[in-house]
This record gives sequence, structure tokens and C-alpha cells, in this order.
Amino acid sequence: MGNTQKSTKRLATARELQQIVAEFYLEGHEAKRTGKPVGWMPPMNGLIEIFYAMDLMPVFPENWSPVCAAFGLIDKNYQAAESMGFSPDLCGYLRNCVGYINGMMGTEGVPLGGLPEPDMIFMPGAGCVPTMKNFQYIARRFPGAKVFLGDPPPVPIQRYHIDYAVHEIKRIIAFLTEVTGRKMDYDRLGEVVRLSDQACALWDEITGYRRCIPTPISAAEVGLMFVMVTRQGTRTAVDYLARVRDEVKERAEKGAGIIAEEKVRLFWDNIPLWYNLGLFNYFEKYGGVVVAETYSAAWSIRLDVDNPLEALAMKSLMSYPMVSCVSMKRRKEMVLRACRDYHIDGVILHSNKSCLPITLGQMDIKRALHEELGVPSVVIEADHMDPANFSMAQFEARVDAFMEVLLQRKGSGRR
Amino acid sequence: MVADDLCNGYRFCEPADGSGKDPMERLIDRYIHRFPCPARATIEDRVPRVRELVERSGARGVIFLFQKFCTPHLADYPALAAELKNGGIPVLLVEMDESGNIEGQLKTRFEAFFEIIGG
Repeated sequence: MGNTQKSTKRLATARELQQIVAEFYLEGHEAKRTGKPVGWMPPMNGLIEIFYAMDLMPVFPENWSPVCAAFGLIDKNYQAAESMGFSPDLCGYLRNCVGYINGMMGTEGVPLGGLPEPDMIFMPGAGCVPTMKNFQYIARRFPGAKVFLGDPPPVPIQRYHIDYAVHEIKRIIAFLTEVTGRKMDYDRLGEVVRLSDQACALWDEITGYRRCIPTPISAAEVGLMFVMVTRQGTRTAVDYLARVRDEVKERAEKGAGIIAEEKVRLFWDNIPLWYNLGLFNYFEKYGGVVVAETYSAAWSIRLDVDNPLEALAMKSLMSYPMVSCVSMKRRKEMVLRACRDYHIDGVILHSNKSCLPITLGQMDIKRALHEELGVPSVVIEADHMDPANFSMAQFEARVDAFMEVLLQRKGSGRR
Repeated sequence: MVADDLCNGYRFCEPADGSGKDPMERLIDRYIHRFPCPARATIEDRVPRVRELVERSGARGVIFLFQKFCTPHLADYPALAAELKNGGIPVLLVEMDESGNIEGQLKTRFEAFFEIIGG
């Protein structure tokens, strides 16, 4: 097995995803051709609902990076970034995106046609630093695009923060009306927020089935997350997730696991290796299944459907400190809770060179897992975007030893 | 060294005072008018600031001195370096870690850089 590998997906609905991905990118190019305004934005901040409600096209450069990893485009993008002076120590999302927009973007033969050029750019003033810098470079690359600079306040969330965020969302709507001439239909926004909330409810329900022993869905199907990133607030997401839910529910009720004989339940901490989702299948030869991950929990926030604007304000305030901008104490609690909820036997701690904020504190998490839950863990040095920072041979050596320990413990009746 | 834009250099000290009717107001005014760390500043604001520092001080070259893995500074570098080079100002990038074991190599690089800028 090489450094890059696709995962084996066992849910029928997971195989439908390819079409949903292709349609999303096609819609972006269609928008460009028909004059529907295109906006580039970071995910999970309430903007997607406003965009779909105003019939505008959202584009997510961060999501484009895993797509580039899947299509094997990242080497070229990294080279382009490095020739501009971007250090290889910087986050792979940032290097991939700046390399792409200043390199192969607009050339022939880019898979899915690449990204449509932005008419508007939403620059975050908070969140993780590579994301902020990424959007600053996007704004430099497309000087013709109108720029909206957002600035969410810190947590803990108080009433005045919510008022402020509602005010910011109204400012976004006014900006969109000024740039595109489109007015917000608040009934339509209510409908979009309802759909967004339904998608989150379905997501929670699907992930809830992962508590079942054996689990009917695993991390190998993590690509499903695509609809949570790009299609929140649409029928597409709700219909698709409902089909996934039906399949997962049926499997759960039949007691059908995602692999034939589930022996060891694993938790994956930090972002997956987008160029090697096949790693999630590696554990199977030991009867190991990755039951839960840190990252997939970050895409669901239930919304108050009766107050769409406040709901989106809350979403914008709650989302950015969910994984990467959270205190170490809270991060530790999240991992420990997931290990209890999903009956985890062992934890893979992905020490991620591309995401230092999530990686920071993993040693404390490791100690807490041992001391508070008696759950063993192993640290894997890798990178969610750059295969150059990952060695399959090292991974195999560590994981093989780790899985043997876990199987022994299971065999001796300890969990 | 005629000017700097280091987080713990001049940027930390400027402005020297804020305005307002009492000490608290002056303190707040000073804090909100300080130029932020690159972690919070935009590149668009930083480029003219660095250009102005170079012009005002008459600097003939710019040395970027980075702490290893400092994302905000590393991320600003390509844009800043390109803008300075376009304006005819040579730049040198030095990355250092806590070990500080780069003295000999650094001396050679500085000497070469000084020759370029005619020092």
C-alpha cells in the first residue's frame, strides 16, 4: 500500500456521493455562465444559508483542497505555492489553495473544471490563521471581486454577541443586495434554515448509529461530510442524508456491521488524510473499525427554525471554536466524551503538521485517555494534506503493534 | 538596524500614548490603535506599513527573521517579499528555532546580503 489510497466504501449511498460532488462543481460553472453571482467563503458560519436563500452560488476553497488531494493535484499546487515563497511548514490547505489560484486555475483539464472565479469574497477576521491568510491571498488574486470582511467576537457567547452577530448578518445581506441587486426573501430564508436544521438532525441521527455494536457506518464513509460542507440548507442534502440514514438504520437494526467481524472500536483524532482515506480500511485486517472522529462532529449545529437570523448568528458564533480554535480543556473533554459514547477501545492520535491548533494538546489527551478511561492510544505523525509528511511504513509499524496490544486486551476480557 | 516590524520591537511600543479624558480611555485608545500582530492584520494593511517603514528609515534591505513554524509571519512573507522586491528592495529570509545553533551559517548569509545592498 502506497502513501496515497482511496477508501473502500461499503454503503450503497456512499457511492452516490460522487455525483453530488460533480453536480455541485457543475452548478458553480453554470452560475458563472448564466451570471449568477459567485461568492468564495469559509464554511460553517451561516453564510451558506443566506446564499442559497438569495439564489447565489457559494464556493468553498477549503473543501476544494480535499478534492485536489483525491484527484492527485496537490503536488503541482504545492510547487506553485513554494515558488511564490510559501514555506512547506505552512498548512496544506493554504498552500494548496494559493498554489491553485496562482497556478493551474483556468487551465485546460482541471478535474471538475476547478473553481469558478469569485464575484465576492468573504474574508474572515477570526478562526484559524491559515484560513484568514488564505482569503487575504484570494482577495489579492481577484482584485475585481467585492470583499466583505467579517469579524466574529470571542466566546463565551453573551446576548450582546448574538445581537452583534445578527447585525453582521444584516450587513452581509445589505452587501449582497448592493453587489448583486438581489433582495432577501425572508420566507425563503426560513425555509433554507429549516432545511439546514433538518440536515443537521439527520447527521446527528446517522452519527448516533455509530454507537451500535457493531457500527453500521465507519470513518471510511467520511466523504458524506461533503453535503454538510457545501449543501446545508438545500433539499439535496436532506434527501441524500435521509437515504443514508435509511441504509444505516436498516443495517443497525439487522445488526450488520460495516465489516464482517468487528473486534476493536477505534477513534481517530484530528483531520483525516484526504489523500489516503484508505487508511481507515487498514485496521480491518485486525477486525478494527474507526467508529468516530474529531472532525465529523464539527459540521452539525441545530438551528432555531423560528428565528432564522438569530439561528444563523448563533451558528456563526458557535462554529469556529468547534475544533481548531477551542481550549485544550474542552478539546480533551470532547475526545473523552466521544470515547465513552462510542464504546472506544483505542485512539489514533493523528499528529498533523498541517493543523497545529488541533494537534496541540494531544499529549494531554493521551494521558487523560489512559488515566481517566484506561483507553490506550497511539500517535501517528502525518499531515492532512501533504503526503510528503507521511510514511506508510512507519504507520504500519506503529499501528500493527498497537492493534496487537488492543486485541490482546480484548482477548483477556479488559476493555 | 534602522527600523523593525517585530512583534516585540517597535510595533510593541507604537503609538507611545493614546488620547482620551482619563487614563483608562487613553490606555484603550492606545491599544486599539496599535498595529496588530500579523495573526490579526491583513496583508493589504501590512504591505503599505512595511513599505512606509522602509522609506521613512532609508533602509536599503529588509531581513525577515522568523521563529520556526510561525504561521502568520510565514504566510505574509510571499506577498511582502514580492512587493519589496518590485520596489527594488532586496530581502533576506532567516528562520530560526529555539536551539539558536545557526550562528556560523547566518554570518555568511548576512555578509553576502550586505554585499548585495552595498553595506
